[in-house]
Amino acid sequence: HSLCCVYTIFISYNFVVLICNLETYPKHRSNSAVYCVHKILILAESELSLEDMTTDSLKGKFMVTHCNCNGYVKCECHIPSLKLNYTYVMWLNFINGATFLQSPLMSLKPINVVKPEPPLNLRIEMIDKGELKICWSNPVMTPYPLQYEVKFSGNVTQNVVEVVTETSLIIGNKLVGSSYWVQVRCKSLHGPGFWSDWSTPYNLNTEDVIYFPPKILTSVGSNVSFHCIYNDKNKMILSKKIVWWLNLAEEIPASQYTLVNDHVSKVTLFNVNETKPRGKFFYNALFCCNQNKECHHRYAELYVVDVNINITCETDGNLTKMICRWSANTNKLPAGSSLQLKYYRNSIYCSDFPSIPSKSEAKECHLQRNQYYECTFEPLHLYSGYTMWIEIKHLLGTLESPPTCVIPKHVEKPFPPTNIKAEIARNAGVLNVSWTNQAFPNSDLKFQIQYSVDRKDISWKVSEFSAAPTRSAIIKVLDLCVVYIVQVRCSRLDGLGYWSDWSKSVHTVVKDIKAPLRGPEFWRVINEDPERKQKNVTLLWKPLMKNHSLCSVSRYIVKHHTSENKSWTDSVANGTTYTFSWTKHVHTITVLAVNSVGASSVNFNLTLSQQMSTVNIVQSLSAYPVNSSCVILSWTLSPPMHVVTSFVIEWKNLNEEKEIKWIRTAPNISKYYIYDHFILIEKYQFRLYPIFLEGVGSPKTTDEFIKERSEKQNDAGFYVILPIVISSSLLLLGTLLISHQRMKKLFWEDVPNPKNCSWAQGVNFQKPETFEHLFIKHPEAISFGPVLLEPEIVLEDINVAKVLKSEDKKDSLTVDSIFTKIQDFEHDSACSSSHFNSNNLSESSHDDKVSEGITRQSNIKYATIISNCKSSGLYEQQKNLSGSFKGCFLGEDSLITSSFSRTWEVENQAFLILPDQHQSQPSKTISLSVVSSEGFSEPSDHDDTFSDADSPERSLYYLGLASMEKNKNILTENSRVMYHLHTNGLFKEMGFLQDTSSDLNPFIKNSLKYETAIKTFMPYMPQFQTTTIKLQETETKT
Amino acid sequence: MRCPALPLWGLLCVWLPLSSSRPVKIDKVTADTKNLARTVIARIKEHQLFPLNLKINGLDFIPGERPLGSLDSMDETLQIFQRILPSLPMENVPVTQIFNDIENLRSLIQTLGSHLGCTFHRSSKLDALGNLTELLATSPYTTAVVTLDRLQKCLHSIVKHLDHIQSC
Repeated sequence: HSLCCVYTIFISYNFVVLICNLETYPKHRSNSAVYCVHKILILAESELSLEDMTTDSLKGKFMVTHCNCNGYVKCECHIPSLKLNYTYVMWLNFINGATFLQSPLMSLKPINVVKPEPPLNLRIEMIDKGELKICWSNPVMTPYPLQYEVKFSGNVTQNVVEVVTETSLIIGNKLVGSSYWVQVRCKSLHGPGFWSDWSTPYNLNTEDVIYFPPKILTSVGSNVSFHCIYNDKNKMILSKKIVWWLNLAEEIPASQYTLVNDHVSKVTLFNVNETKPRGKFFYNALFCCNQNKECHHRYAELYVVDVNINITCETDGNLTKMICRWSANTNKLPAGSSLQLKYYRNSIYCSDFPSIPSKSEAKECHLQRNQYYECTFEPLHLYSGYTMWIEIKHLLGTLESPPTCVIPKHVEKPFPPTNIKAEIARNAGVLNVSWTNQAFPNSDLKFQIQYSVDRKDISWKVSEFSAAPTRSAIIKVLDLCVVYIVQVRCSRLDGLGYWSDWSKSVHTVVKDIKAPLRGPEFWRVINEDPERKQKNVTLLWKPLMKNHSLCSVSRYIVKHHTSENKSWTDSVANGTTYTFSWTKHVHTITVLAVNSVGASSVNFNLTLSQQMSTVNIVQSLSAYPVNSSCVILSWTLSPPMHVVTSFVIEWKNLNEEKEIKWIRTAPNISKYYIYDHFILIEKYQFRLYPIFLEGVGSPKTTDEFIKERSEKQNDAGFYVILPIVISSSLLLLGTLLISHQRMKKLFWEDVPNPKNCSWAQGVNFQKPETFEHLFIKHPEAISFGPVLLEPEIVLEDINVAKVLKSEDKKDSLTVDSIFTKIQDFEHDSACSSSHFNSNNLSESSHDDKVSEGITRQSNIKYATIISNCKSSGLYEQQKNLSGSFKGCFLGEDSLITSSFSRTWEVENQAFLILPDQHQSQPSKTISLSVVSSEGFSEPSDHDDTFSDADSPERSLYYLGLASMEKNKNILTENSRVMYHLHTNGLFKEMGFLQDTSSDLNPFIKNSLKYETAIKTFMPYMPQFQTTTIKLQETETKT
Repeated sequence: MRCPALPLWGLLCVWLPLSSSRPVKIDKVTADTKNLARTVIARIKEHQLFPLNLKINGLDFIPGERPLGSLDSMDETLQIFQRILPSLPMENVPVTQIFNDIENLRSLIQTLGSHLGCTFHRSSKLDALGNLTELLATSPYTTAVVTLDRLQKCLHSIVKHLDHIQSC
C-alpha cells in the first residue's frame, strides 16, 4: 500500500487547520486495512533540502502534533503558530492495529495551500447614478490580496460568473425586473491556493419594488435617504410618478424627492424623530407608491433610535475607583441591539469639544436593579480625561451616543469626616463641633454641619464653613439645655465633585453650662399657730426653667436675715417648699438656686414685717373674666407711702380646696392677664399683695367676677342687631317707594295722551310752564277753561250736611244720571272721546231750550247740596256713587290715594263745601258740588257760558251751603285734603238756585242773603275753580 | 497639483483641534500637580506604617535623596519610579494606582513645562536599572520600602518646588 496525503490549510481567526486527505494506492476497498494517522511531525524553518534529510537526522528538531482522523480518508491536524511563508518538512506516522507505518518526508509551504473563508456580508447598494452595486466584505485573517468570483443564478437564466479584484461589483440596471441569487467566493490574488466556498446566497429580487437600502438604523435628528425602483407587473414606473408614504398614513412632501434617473426615486427625511414602537414594530415603514395611490406591500424600514444617553461618573473617596452610570431604555431599541460603553483616555484633561476618536476601548458594564448600567474604572488616572460614549450595535449598523469627557478628580465624592464631636461649650454657650478629615481628599474642602434638636420631628439647620483649618466650627444655638444631633459632610472648595455623605450622627450631652441666671421666684404662706402664738411661714417657689437654670438645679439655698442682724442659711435639696417659724418682726428671706457651676447671683428677696402688713395701698381690685383660660385683674392704688417693688397675685377656687396659685408681677402695672384654667360659674378669690422693700403690704381681695364685660358683649349683640334692623327698614321703605312708583306708573298709563285733545292743540307739554298754566288758576277769571281738574278737588271728601227732600230727589236723580254718565265717562274720557263731546254738545244745546232748572239737571253743570242728616235716597245714591267712583266718595276716612285713581272719572265734577255761616249749627255742613259733565273739551262752550255768566238762563248753577266750623278752609272731619276757595270777582253776578226744601231754609236764607247782598258767590265752574275768600268777606259784611 | 495641497490640509487638520482647545491655565496645572503629588504622598502614608529613619546602602540608583530643582529633573526622576514601581512586590499598596498617578503627574509636569518652554529628556539613569530584577530577587522588601520612601521624598520636593516655580 502507498499513501498519498493531499493537504489543505484553513486559516481561521486564531488557528490554522491542516487537513490531510489520505488516498491509498491501490484504492482501499475493504476495511481490513485500517490506517490511523497517529501524529504528524513537522519541522519548521528548515534550510536543508529534502534529499539531505532523514528522519533520524531530524530527531530532536521537530515538534509533534496529534491528528483527528475522520474515518479513513481525512485527518485534521491542528498546527499552532503556523507561519505561512515558511517551508515545513513533515511526515506522518500511521498505526494500523499493531502495525506502525511512517510516511516519507514531505515539504510544504502553507501559503501555497491556503483555502480562505468565504466573503461575508453580501449586500446590494445603489450608487449615485441609480445603478446597483453588489458589495461584500473580506473574510477575517486574509494574509494576502484576494480575487473574487461573483455568481448570478436565476430561475430561468444560467449561471453568470464574473471575476473581480475589488469587494464590489456594479451591475447597473441590467438585472432589474428579475430575481437572482448572488454568491461570491475568493482566492489568493497571486500564486497558488484554493477557492473559498461560496458565500451565503443573497436574493436579489427586483421583480416588483426594491428599496436601497432596505433598512436603515439611524439616530434622532439625522437625515436619511432611501432609493426606490418600482416595477409594476413588468412595467417600470417612472420615477417622476413615484410618491412616498410613511407608515401608510402620511404622504411625504414632493419637495423631499429626488429623481436619480428615470426609474429611481430618492426620498430624504430630515431631522428624523425617534421611532415610537407600535406593538412589535420598532420601525417606520416607508412605502414607494404609484401616483395613483397604488402601493406594493413591500416597504423599507427606518429605525430611529434616541442615542442621547447621559453618563454620570463618581470617583470614590479613596481616589482609586470611578463608577460611571448610564441608563438606556432597551425596550425602544430594535431587536438584536447591544449596548456597550466605549472610552478613550487623554493623558491629562479633556478637550473642549469631546469627539469620538478612532481608537477606543470597551468597558464592561453591569446592569443594576435600578435599570442602570454601572461601569467601574479602576485604577484611575485622576487627571486624565476619559471620553466616553455608548455604542449601540445592530446588524443594520452602529450608533454612538454623544461623547462626554470626565476627569475623575473632578467628580470625586469624598468620604465624610470622621470622629465627630459636638458639645455645648461651658460658659460660651455655643455648639462646638469638631471632626477629623479622611486621608483623601487632601485638597481644600468646605464643610456643612447640620444640627437639630433631638426630638420626634427633626428640623435640620445647616451651616456651611469653608476651609476650616482647625477642623472645628462654632454654631450659635438658642436653646442650650437640649440634646442636639449633629452631622458633618464635606466637598471640594472649588465646587467640583459631589458632597460626601453625611457623617454618622452624634448627640450632645446636656450639662450645666453656667450658674443659674437667677434664683427662683417665691412666695410665702403664713399659718398662725394660736396655741404656740407663733407663725409658721411656708415658702413656695417655682422650679427654675432650663433657660434660667442652665441647665439644672442641684439644690436651693434659703438665706435668712433678721432685724437683729442675724443671718443663716438652709439648704433644700429636694422639693420647692420650705417652712420656718417667724418670730421676729422683720425677717428677710432670699432663695438661691445652685447647680454644678455655682449659685445664682440674681435672686429674689422677701421681707416679712408685721408693721408693713397693715399698709394698704390697693384701693380697688376687679377681676374680669375673658374666657375660661384668661382673667384680667385690674387694680387701682392710692398714693403709696412706700416703694412698691412688685405685686403678688394669689388666686384660688373657693369651691375646691386646691392649693393657692400665685404669680409675681411688675410694680408699674395696674392690670394683669392671668392665664389659668378657670371655671367661670364657680367662685374664685383673687388677692393682690403689694410688696414693699420693707415687707409685704395688706392685700386686697375680690371674690367676684365683674359682669360688665358680659353686658358689653350684649351691647355688642345690640350693635350687631341694630344695623340689621336699620337695613331692613331701609329695604322696606325702598320696597314701598318702588311699589308706589310702579302703582303711579300703572295709573298714569291709563291716562290718555292729552295731545289728542282739541284743547291741547298747540300746547307744548315739554315745557314745565305749560303745566303750570294748566293747573294754576287762570289769571283771567272770566275764562274758566281750559282747565284740568285739580287733583285735590277730586279727592275732596264729602261731608254730607243734609239730605234734600223733594228737590233732592230730583237732584239725586240728576246726580244719578250724571253719575251714570260719569260712569260712562270712565270709558269715554272727556279728552279722548269726540263723539261723547258731540253728544254732550247736542244734549247741551237741547237742554238750553228746555226749562233751565230741571233740564239743566241733565246738563253738565250742577251743584249738589247735601246734608249729612236724614239722608235717605241720596245717601243710598251716594253709596252707589261711592261704589262707582271706587273711593272717590268714600266715607270720612277715605284716603286721597284711594280716590286719586279716579281722577279723570270725576274730573268734570267738583264739590264745593262752603263754611257755615251759623256757628250755632256746626253739625251742618254745606257741600257745594260743581260738576261739569261737559268737561274741558269744550272750552268755547264754557266761554259762552261764562260770557253769559250773569244770565241765569244760560247757566244752571247749583249751590250747596252748609255751616262749617271754620271759615277759611272747608274740611270734612277726617279729610286729608284742604280745599281752598278763592275769590273771583267774576262771580259777583252769579245767581243761586234757591232750594225750597224746608230743611235747607237756613241755607237758602243764607244763600239769599248772599245773593241779595253780594250777588256774588262761588260759581258753577267747569274748571272747578272755587273761592272762599270772597265768601268770607260777604260773611263778614253780613 | 494635488500633492502640494495635501501637507497643507494635513497641517490644517492638526492645527484645528489644537486651536479649538483653550490653553490650560498654568495656575490650575500647578495646583493640580501639587494636589496629585499630595495624593500620592497620602497613598503611600496610608499604607506605609512607619517612616524610614535608616540609611540603606546599595540602592543608590533609586532617586529621592537629592532635592529636585527643575521640571526636567522631576520628569526624569518620575520616569525611574515608573520603571521600578510595577516590579515592587507590594500587595497592600495600590502600586498600579500609584503608577497611574505618576504617569498623570508626569503629564502635568510636562504640560507645565510646555507653558514655560521647557524640553524634556529621557532619563539616562534608566539604563542603570539593569540589576533591578536581581536586586528585587535578593532583597525585595528593602527595595519596596526604600522605593516608596524615596518616592515620597521626591513628591514632597516637587510640591515644595512648585510653590515658587518660575522657569524650567
